[in-house]
Amino acid sequence: MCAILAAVVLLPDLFLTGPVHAQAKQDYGTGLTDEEIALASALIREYKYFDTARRFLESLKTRRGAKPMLLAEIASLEIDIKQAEGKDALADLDAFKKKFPWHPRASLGSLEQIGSKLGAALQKVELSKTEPDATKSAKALSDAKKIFTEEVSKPLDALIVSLGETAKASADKKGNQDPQKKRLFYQAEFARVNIFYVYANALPEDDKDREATFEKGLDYASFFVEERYEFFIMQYKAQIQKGLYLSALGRNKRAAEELELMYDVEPPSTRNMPPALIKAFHEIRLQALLFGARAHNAAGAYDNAVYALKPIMRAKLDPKNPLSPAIGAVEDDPDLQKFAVLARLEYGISVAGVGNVSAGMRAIHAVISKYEKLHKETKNETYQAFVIDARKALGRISAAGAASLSGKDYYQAGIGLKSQLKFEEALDSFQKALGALEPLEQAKIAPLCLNEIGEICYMLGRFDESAVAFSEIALYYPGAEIFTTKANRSFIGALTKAVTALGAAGAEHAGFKELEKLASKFGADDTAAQASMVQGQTAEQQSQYERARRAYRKIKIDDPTYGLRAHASSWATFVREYEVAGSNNDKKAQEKIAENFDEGIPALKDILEKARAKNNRSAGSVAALALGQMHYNRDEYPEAVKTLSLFVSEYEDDKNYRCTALGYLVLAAVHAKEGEGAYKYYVPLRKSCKDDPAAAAAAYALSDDATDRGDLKRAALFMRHYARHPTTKDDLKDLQLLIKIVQVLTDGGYVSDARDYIEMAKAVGGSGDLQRVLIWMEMGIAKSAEQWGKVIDLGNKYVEQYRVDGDNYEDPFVCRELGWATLRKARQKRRTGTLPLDACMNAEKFYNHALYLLDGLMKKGTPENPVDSSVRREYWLVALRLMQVKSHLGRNDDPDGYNDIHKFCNENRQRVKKYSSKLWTRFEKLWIEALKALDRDPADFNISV
Amino acid sequence: MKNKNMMTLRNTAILRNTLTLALVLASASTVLADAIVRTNGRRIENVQITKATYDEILYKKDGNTATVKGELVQAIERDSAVVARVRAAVDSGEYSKALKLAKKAEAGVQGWEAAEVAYLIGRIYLEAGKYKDADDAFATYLQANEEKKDYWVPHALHGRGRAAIAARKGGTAMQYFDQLGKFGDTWDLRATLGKAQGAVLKKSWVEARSLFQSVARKSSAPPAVQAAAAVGRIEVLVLQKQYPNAVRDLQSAFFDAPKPALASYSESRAKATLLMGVALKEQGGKENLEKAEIWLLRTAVIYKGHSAVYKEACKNLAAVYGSLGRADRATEWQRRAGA
Repeated sequence: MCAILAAVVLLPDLFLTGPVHAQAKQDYGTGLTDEEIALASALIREYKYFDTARRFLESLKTRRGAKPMLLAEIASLEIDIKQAEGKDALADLDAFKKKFPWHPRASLGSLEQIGSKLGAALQKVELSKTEPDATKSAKALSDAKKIFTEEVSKPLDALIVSLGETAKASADKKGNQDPQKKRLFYQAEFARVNIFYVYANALPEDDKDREATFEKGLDYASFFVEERYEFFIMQYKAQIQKGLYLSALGRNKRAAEELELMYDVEPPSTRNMPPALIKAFHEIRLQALLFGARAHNAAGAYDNAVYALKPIMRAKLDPKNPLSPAIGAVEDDPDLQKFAVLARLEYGISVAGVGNVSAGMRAIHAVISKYEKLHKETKNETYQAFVIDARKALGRISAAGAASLSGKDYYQAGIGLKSQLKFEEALDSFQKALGALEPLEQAKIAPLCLNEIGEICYMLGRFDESAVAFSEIALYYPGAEIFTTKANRSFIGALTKAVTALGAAGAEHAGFKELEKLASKFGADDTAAQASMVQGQTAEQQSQYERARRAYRKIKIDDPTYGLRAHASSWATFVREYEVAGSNNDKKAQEKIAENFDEGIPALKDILEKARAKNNRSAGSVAALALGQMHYNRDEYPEAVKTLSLFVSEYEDDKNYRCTALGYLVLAAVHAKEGEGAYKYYVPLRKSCKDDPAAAAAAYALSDDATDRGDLKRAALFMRHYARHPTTKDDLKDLQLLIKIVQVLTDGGYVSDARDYIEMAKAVGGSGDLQRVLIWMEMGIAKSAEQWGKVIDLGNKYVEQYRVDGDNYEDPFVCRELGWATLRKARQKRRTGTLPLDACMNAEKFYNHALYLLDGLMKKGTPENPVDSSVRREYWLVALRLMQVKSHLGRNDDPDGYNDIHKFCNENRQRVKKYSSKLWTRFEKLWIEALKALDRDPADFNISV
Repeated sequence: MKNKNMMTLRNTAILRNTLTLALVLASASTVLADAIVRTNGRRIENVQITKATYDEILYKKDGNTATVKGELVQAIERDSAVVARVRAAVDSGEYSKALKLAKKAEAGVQGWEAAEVAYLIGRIYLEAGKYKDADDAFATYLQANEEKKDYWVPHALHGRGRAAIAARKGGTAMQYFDQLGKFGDTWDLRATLGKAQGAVLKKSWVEARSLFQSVARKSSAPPAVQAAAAVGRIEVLVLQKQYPNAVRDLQSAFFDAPKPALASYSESRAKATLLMGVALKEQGGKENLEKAEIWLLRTAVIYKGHSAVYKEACKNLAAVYGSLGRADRATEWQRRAGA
């Protein structure tokens, strides 16, 4: 829902982008016709016939050939399909931008990614409102704010600046900017106006940031209205947004005035207006009238609202005034239908507000009846949404106290308020409904109201009140459909939560005992089992594993509904307990807990087998995860892989355990040395659980595995996934980890990413050893970027701070890099020929010391602990580099240069050859050069030239 | 001139605003729709009330004219912007808002609207516990409307009686209740209830229970009157500290298998639920307190619409939690009592 909302906010306006298409069409061939686009859009957005839409687009490709604009527009619609399906289309969008960079959708840069992040922020806000646990709710809200600031607001500002600069750069000699580029710039600014409204509106009403965000958005809207006047439709839409902002800030009178400006708005010329233009103005006027009336109603000026809306409450358009919308005419247009229905409802509220309560109610009830019927007939969810909107309208009348409603209307109003997450107001409405019910309505509507009260109290974490509300249905309406199908279970759930919240005292509470007796009398056959299940889950959440096991095992394994799941869950608690002991580094406790795995593994195998045979997926997935984890914790990796791989086949659609299971599956596959196999499991994990900690753990393990296999590129890629994962932010305060990340990223060529983590590491700070390594890492990054001056500065810093006597592993390598950077820097100044003497002498000094230190390292080796082969190789490479420097010294007429080469090569000839004959040929070349310069004959040294 | 679009639009809007008022006035002549609430709880919707006296209500529905005896009507709701808002505020228990709206409306209305607003002012004071003001307001209303036989006359007289009872003026109350008999049997029964309240004031428990019982047993009494009588009788038991008897009678009358008259979510049933909690609470002991907790929670969760009962339930819950040693819950319910 939030993702869709976010997409709607950013949806390119067909009318606004139209000319951009036309411009592009000249260069890239003909695209889709307006009719084809309209049909595809209807299939996607209105009817949601996604497969049909895909087939239609496929047929267009076949029929119309491969013109670039056509292909781009088809690809764009295919992305729309994915987004409408609720799938992540960011990768497709990236591909689209690369393939069709000239297309307007690509030109809007990262706006759609920003939209996707906005969707994520909105989802978190919504979660914070419905989460009964206060801590979790606060965390969700704080996450939402972080996402909005870091991943929506900041990148959006950057995008706007960038598009602004692009537009500015496109100006001709007279200063006229390219209209297409200017339009894109404005579109991004306009999207910001919308985005701030949607986000602020979603924030809880008592949130401290809500008002400030609205104020900021209002500033953006006002600026847009005053300064961005070239594209008048965008300007008018911004004016409507301005009105909405003012309304949201409680300045309703002012909002109504601003919106009133748009009531009769017209294009600069009204002759020969195309249908698309007329429709655009219908939309603007309709929105202005709707929101203007809403502002009047909020200010209690119902008569003004009636006056505004009454003229459009007619069936047909006025031929003399074609720009004026008529509700009856626009209500069938899918793009305008929503505003038309909302206008009808606003009209109902206004009419009720001026005292004609019955007429106002009739207008609202007419919407409910019409769209309830249509929804039943067509199953189209849009119609159901209109019914909810109508209930919200009743909710507004109820909450504003503009009129007393009937019991049934209060009930409908409560549903509307609940759908807006206005829980306290919804509760009031349901409570009023109970008191206002007529005798004949009571048996039908009272249980519905009580069920809603119970559900809302449950969501608000008031489990005792929730249980009491449900108990009222059990007592007086046990035969009501809502009770037999739903509320009976909710009753048990709420009651169990209420009892559990009291701890041990709960079981002895006389009042709750009476309710439990009632529940068992009126509840379903499996009431007791359900209660035990909830008790088990609650105890598990409270980390009371022994109590959880007792509760789960109270349920007989052959209980048809809960048996297998309860017993699988009871075994799974051992895994949870094992993990907790692990996180406390309590090995002894882990060993003791793991003893239960001996019994648990065959039991879980049996449960899993039975669950699969009975297609009991909930029990099967619990059993499969626990079994896989037990195998994993016993280092039985192939068995773990075998079990957990059910989550990429049979339990692929599992919602509760799949992320954890896939995380373990990747780890098990890594341990089982499956190589590429492990990567195969990581793909679905990253796709479906990208924000789950399991994805981060898996990426880290895969990075280590790739490093072990020498695949540094892939190691860096996984490390990048790990480091960027939202759940690893706290881990990145560990300097050692940061250093590892930098190392892996640098080795794999992700130098620019590595630089970010170096900065983070510097900010974290740390002990001397880690700081030393940090300098070394930073040198590596500077080297990759060929910033030789920086390498030298860092190397000198290292040399100044540490003794560089071979105590630290990095010492010889720092000297080597200093030598190399000195040469490269010199080479930057003198592209060809002999290097300058001072550079050569400096480099010689560093290489000499590096060689000395490496020699020391090699001498530390023993037959039992031979020195690392890379050190040996490094030794000879540094030696070669030193000889090359000496050759430059020789060329600079330094008398020792060639003598040293001759001496070294003569003495080490056999050692180098033994290490690598290939390497020796490079030494030999330098030796020949030296001998010749020294007027010696190479043949005297058995060298054939 | 850079923002010519907006400037032009602002000028157009100013011109249009000058026409607004006249057109709004012109559009206000729509036919309004009224409703009648009968004493059996049924609503007759979408009617047009043409005459409303305490003797009879004359109305049109679907083009046909009909009448209903005044004593069989619990309330009438005639469409009116101002009065509807006052009624809604009173029904929601928002008395200060209701008074503000009523006082604001008072000057601008005439005819039946003026009469109803005057009556509502009395009712607002009564519900808000300002008994002297209530009596004065009802007196003002009666002075202006008694002769006209306005529909709300017996309601106002009954209100004066209730205000006197609440102000512990039993004798004065009886004078008002005695006058109700002339408005029909239903008002006679309500008068008996008033007299029973007077007996309660005098602590004449037996007389009070007997009066309440006489009404509760009347099968012809409207459900709301029956329910008020039944709960009134049990309230006397509570006042007499006969808590086990109160619990027993509440259980049998209201909760085990209630008669339809006592089963609706009325103010009387709300009081019955509250009394159940109070009676259990007063007996003390952990078990009774925990049972009381559930009944009081039930009152708060289901009957928030009856604000006086709801507040009483919140206060009692705070006391129960205090006795059970659950300080956080006590604070929470104390907060809700004050909210």
